[in-house]
Amino acid sequence: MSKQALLEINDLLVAFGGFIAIDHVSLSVLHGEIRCIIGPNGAGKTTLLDAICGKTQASQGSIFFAGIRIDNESEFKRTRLGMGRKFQTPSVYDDLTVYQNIQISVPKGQSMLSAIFNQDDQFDDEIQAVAVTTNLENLLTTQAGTLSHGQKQWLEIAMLLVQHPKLLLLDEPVAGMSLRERDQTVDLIQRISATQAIVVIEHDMDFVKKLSGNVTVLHQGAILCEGSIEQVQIDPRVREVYLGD
Amino acid sequence: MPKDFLRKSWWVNFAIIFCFLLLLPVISPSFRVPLYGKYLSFAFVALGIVLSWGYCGILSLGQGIFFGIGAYSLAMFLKLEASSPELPDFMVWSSVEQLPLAWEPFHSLAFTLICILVLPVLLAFPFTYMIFKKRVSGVYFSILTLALSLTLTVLIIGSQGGTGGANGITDFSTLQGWDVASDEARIRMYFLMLGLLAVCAVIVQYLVSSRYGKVLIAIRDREDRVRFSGYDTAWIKAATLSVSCVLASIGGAMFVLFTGLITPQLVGAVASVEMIVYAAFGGRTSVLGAVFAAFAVGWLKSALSEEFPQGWLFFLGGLFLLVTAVLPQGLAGLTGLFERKPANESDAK
Amino acid sequence: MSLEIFWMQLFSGVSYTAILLLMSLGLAIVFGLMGVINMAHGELMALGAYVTFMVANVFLKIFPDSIDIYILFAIPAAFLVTFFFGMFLEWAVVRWFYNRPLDTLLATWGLSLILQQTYRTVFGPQEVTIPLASWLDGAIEPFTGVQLPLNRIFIIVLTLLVAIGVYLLFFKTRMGLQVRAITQNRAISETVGINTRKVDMYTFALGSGLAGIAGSVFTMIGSTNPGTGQLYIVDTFIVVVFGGVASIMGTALSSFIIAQLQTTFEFMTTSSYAKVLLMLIVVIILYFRPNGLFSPKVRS
Repeated sequence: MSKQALLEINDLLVAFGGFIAIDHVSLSVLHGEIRCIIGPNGAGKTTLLDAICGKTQASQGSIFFAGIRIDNESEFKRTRLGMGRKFQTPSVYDDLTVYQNIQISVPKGQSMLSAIFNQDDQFDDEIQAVAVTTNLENLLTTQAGTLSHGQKQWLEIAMLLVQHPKLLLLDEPVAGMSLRERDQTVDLIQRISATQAIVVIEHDMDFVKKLSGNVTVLHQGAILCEGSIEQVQIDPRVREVYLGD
Repeated sequence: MPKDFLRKSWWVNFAIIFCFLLLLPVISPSFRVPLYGKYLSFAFVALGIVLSWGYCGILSLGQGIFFGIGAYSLAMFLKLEASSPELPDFMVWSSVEQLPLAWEPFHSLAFTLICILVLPVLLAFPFTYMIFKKRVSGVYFSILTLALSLTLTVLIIGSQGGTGGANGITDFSTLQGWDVASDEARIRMYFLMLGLLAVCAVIVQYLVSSRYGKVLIAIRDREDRVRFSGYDTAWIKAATLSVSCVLASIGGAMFVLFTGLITPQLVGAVASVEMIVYAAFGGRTSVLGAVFAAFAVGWLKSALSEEFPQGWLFFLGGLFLLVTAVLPQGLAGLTGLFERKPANESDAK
Repeated sequence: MSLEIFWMQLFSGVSYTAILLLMSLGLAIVFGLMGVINMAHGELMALGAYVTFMVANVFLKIFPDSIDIYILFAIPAAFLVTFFFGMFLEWAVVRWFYNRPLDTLLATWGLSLILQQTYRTVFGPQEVTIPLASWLDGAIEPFTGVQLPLNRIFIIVLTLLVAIGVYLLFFKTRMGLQVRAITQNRAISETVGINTRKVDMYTFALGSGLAGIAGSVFTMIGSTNPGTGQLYIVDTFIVVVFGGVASIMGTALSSFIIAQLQTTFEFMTTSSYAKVLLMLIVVIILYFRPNGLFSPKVRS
């Protein structure tokens, strides 16, 4: 893996009216890296992800992805460049089956013509493989709306994986999951980090520890400190912000 | 071939409905045939609405505009043919001296056909693509289309000399020499139209059974997720709506053939909203339901107007309430007869 | 353009602003709070007009000498009737559709058809004549050549009073505070004990009542027949959608802009082209600000 950063954010500013949500943030993520973003509520973590994937427009600064400047590109273009975004609340197609959810997300055949004329089971192998990775191989014919909260999170990840993204943006992937599901998710993320970089927003410190990636702490829209989870936990500024020491 | 498309039950229902429609002229008095043709002209519109609203979730309250494009285009062609070499009568009444420039090309059947089939796309696609790119959402979009159809009505009524104004255009006699006004002619046209309707129904059913249909459902339910799966949803929505507009336009042209008349009433807001109810009543995701419902509602309208003229609006209003409150899946949901959805698939893989 | 015409145009614009605002206020409140598109809003205005007609007839029969003051009774009567009717509608129909805006649109359209036909059946398809109070007849002439009709001045004053009343209601009363809370976050409002059902019902009723006032007052400037509601409804929606549903101020500004544009265009060209031009402008502006001109930018 090259040393050049996969994702590079320079001096990013995101404002809503007078409120500054992201305050001159600079950040870089390497290929194949696992990066956790933590911080108190309102720190701007989701907004940062929104800006990276294109849901929100930044007012200043630049974002480079695989060497290409993307801050003016629309979401679907960024997705096609290799970025996958998982939302905070599971965002799957309730009316379709697990299989169909993944099927729609396959990147080949996304133009209207191929969607009309391609065979139904053209991508079967890929879909099966991704279902196995995300613990869903026995649920393929289930309607997505009836899955448990945790399973919906996995389905969303599966829908992203089938696109072979270079970068995955996961917003609170274990929120609402049982302890066992959390452990399974740790395994899942470590499995897939072999082939892609992953940025994770989380609150659960145990989960972050188990992932053992680099940690970036956000506070009031700016980066407070960065480092390994151990370093960050003993940092006095972090303690002050979290515990009011 | 998509699995859903080959499903036997749909084809059986298709056969039942179209056999019924085929037999109608045989078992009814010939003066009713143009009426049936009129009802079925709205079936084209309803098919389009099933595609754009039922599957993709775009509620356009301006389908009357495109119905009008198809209708007025054909009307202008037929009127020119009927009045030639003189000016159409309504122009003479409005003291128009010379045929307006806009009317000249309608001497040609080819141009008229292009207007009916291609003009809707040229108008609808760029406009709606830009609007959808800007994320103008459901309700706002609907109101916008409502206002546009009203504006078009105002424009048509205001241009008495060019469009026949509030009275519309009527009095046609032949199409390229073929008689279109007599009863026998209308029976012949009825069978031709039925063939065209069958083809359109099959095409729409194919579209919604394919993966494209699933994408439409996904867009309807969670558009931002679809964008994040890499689809240009604005493009897909605009293209889908354009198909719907072409169908509406074809419906308008059929309407003119069977009633010999077009007025701005059929272009406006009220007519456009009424067209929605045809699709809703049949079951907004049912292709065959749309065909049946268009016929049924049209038939009920005539029946009520004969017996009980005060009752039509009550009935229509009640129908709107019924299909939104109690029967969101329309007739299709009630009877389970018509193939309604790849929406709740648990047997398809 | 002479000075006289300028003043008359200005007055025309202001008077039309008042009309649009009165019509749209009720709709904006309901749309803004509950996300409900009430396509029957026009018919509620017509109801106000018909109530006015009935009050006028009562006066004509029973108090013919006091006919000049009937309007002072008619307006409150219109408000009360439409207020309670709106409450009934909300309870019977609208509340089933809260999270389905497109379905609300269609359902209330159905309601409007039923109401129209009811008016036709009860009052007849013809226009009904409603007498104009003599003190509102005629015009004042502040400068020579500039005639300002009294009935329109009355409308402007009334609209101002109504707008102030609504403002006070929303910003100075506890009920208003609850409404604003629910607009911003319904779920939390429920958890802090606000009875959202009750607030919804009263708000819809208020919106209907305002429509009733509008309808009552319009009897002075337009004809009243079963189709009256349809005439006004699309304009009203344009104002609300154009302004964005964030605020009453937004609706007021939107009314002003659209009124001025409309009267100016009408002055320059025919009435149909004026409408087309106006639509063009609205579409262009909506393209740049899809949520309306005055809506704030928020995080999703």
